[in-house]
Amino acid sequence: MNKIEQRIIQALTLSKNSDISTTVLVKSVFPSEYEELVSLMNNPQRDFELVKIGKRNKARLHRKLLYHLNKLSEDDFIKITRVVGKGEKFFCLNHEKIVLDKKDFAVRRVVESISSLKDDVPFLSGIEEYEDDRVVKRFDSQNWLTKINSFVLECSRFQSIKKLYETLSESYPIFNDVVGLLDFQDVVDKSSVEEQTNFLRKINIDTKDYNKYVNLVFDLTKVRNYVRLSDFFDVFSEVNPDKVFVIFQTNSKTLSGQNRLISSVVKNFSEKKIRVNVQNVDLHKAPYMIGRAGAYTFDEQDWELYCSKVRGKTIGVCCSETSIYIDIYRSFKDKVNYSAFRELIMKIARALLLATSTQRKKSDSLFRPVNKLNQGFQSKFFSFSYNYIRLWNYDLLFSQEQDKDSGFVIFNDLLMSAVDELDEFCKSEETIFRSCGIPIRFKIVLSSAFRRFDKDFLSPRIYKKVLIKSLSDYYSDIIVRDIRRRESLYKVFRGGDRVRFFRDSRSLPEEIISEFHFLLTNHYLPFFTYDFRSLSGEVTLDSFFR
Amino acid sequence: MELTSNSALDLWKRAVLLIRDNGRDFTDNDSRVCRELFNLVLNLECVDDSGVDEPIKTMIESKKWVYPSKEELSGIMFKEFQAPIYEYTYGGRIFGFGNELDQINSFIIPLLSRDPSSRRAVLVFYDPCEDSKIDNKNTPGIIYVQFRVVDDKLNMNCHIRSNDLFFGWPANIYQLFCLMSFVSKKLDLKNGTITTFSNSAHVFVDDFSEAEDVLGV
Repeated sequence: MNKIEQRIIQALTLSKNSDISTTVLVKSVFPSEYEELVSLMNNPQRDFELVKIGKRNKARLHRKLLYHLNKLSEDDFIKITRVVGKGEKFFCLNHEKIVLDKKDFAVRRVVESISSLKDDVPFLSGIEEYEDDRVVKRFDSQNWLTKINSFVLECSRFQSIKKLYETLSESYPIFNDVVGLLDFQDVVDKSSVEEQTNFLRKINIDTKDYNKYVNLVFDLTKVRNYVRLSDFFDVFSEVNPDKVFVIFQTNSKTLSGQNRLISSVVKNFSEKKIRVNVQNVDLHKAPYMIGRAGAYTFDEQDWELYCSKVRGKTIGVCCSETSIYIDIYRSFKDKVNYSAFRELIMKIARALLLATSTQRKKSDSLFRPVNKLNQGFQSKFFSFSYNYIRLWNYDLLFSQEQDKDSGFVIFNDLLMSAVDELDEFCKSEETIFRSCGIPIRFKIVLSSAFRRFDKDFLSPRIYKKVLIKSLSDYYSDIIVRDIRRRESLYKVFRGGDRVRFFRDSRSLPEEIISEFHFLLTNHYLPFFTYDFRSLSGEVTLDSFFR
Repeated sequence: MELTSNSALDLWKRAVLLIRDNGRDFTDNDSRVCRELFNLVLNLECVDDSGVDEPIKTMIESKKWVYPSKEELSGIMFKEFQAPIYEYTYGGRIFGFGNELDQINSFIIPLLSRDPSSRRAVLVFYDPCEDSKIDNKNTPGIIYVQFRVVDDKLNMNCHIRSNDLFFGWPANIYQLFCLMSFVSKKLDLKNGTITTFSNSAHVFVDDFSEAEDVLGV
């Protein structure tokens, strides 16, 4: 165990107070460094340069400490008790996890329990060779077996925004990518602007600290109070959180009746370069989320079943347990080999099954915060989850063909057959496990990977991005062809996919809204994003966007 | 029909072949053709020396499928491995039936300690309140287990409503052995015979060629 983490535990164990602030912890954990920076900041010469160095070192120490605090918090050994002022967090030991006897003994026990948790993962996935070749990678490999990727929380289950925040805070240790807050329009309806601002500021800090994402999902078809919503989006634009995304569930008809609201959103968001994520509920009703790994969603039939049988009994539902990505470029850059691709997919499927089996064994302790909240229906929370195989730079599989169109058709067929093979594998494994008295759900879905899945690991992007300047761009042959391809892929990527349009932000909101209408009514794109950040490099129409 | 052996592997092979050669075909709810025998009785004698985990090892070593590990199979029979991610577990039903009754420690062990010849030592897995719902497909295969003490040996009789003999029975017999060993240790008895009574003893027809390959027949 890391020495800094040991010192943190020691400080929390020996403290007479019920909780300790980050500032006090910095002093206890780094006493000599802290003393040094105080002397710089209070230097007798009042040298401004030295004060600046002192301040910089102080910030550095805070960041260093926060990194370890977050690790301990994610492993459930400590808890955040409150956030005060501009976001300073207070921590205490998690007594549910640690039984304190004598104080010195407690420190030792904590250290031992952390070590045993970390050591208890001698896991052979069967894909080690591919990992060594940097062809495949597990998402968040360190926490692969101990955290789920994503889940949704039903906002309607929380009486106040405060309660929602509390649950969200307790949930950070159980997931490693994204949580979607469904029907967030209800939260906006029931809370004041001040509460909303506070909430956004806090989750902005949390998501940055923990490197996790939160999606606020607005079902625009259910919106009643446009004024409150408009005010909220003003606040959102002002706070402009990095890792908090807004998702609009809508359709063309709904959009037509909400022109003022959407105009103001588009104006605000485009000015602040905030992405607008649109889910077309006419094509796909199950909620979409976007995190670090990529897009997430549920199968329509599963979602329908969840709504009719489970909704209201649990606080939400798990979407993804584990993810692995394949870097197609690295795998097949020399020669495209379809049979090798299928073999790889099946090896990954076996690895995912072994991983979920390991995760299951520890599920009562790993997912305690949500299990507690789903009392009586714990298993339902996990009964609609998927395991993801994400593809990166997959364009390579068809772009090398002389005739790119037929190349794409072959690629699409290859994916379809891989999906069939995966379904068959999952079904027979479910049958095997069930016949052994282990009633598991095991589903694998394909999806695309985002570059932020692992920037250092992924091969450079081989596809090009393009900037949309007006509605007429959507009529160009190249764009039409590429949209058609993405429409086909939506049917194969059952774990969800996202088409990102880079959009020149200088246009009037009305022009952009008419493009939304065009996409919602003319194309099979269940989820698309308008990104208003300017493109560096290619801004041509000779290829597409992601 | 009834088969008896003191080797788990032998009993398993013979049972699968018996179904292949004498079963009748029907199509199940998932549209899979299934070959079944009604009321098949399998007696595994001298379980301690029967190589009770050999069928599991055979399945795992075949590498044709991912078969549950012995650790997971035995783990779900005991409450300490009870995990909320499962729809149900045998352990939950054994040690916390209806979320309250520990059938082993509160009933089976005290009963057989006081009255070794009792014929009331019945451990029930099926919970009508939970399982008797028309849409519920995930219900335990094992309905009940009856413990009998004969000649200072603990014997078990197990009723399985629907039993995939190829994939499921290796796991079932091992799980029953683990449970038997737990109880016999507490009662200071030796392990005797395990009898499984499978109401629908079946193998899916499309699994036969793989089964023949794995069983070497």
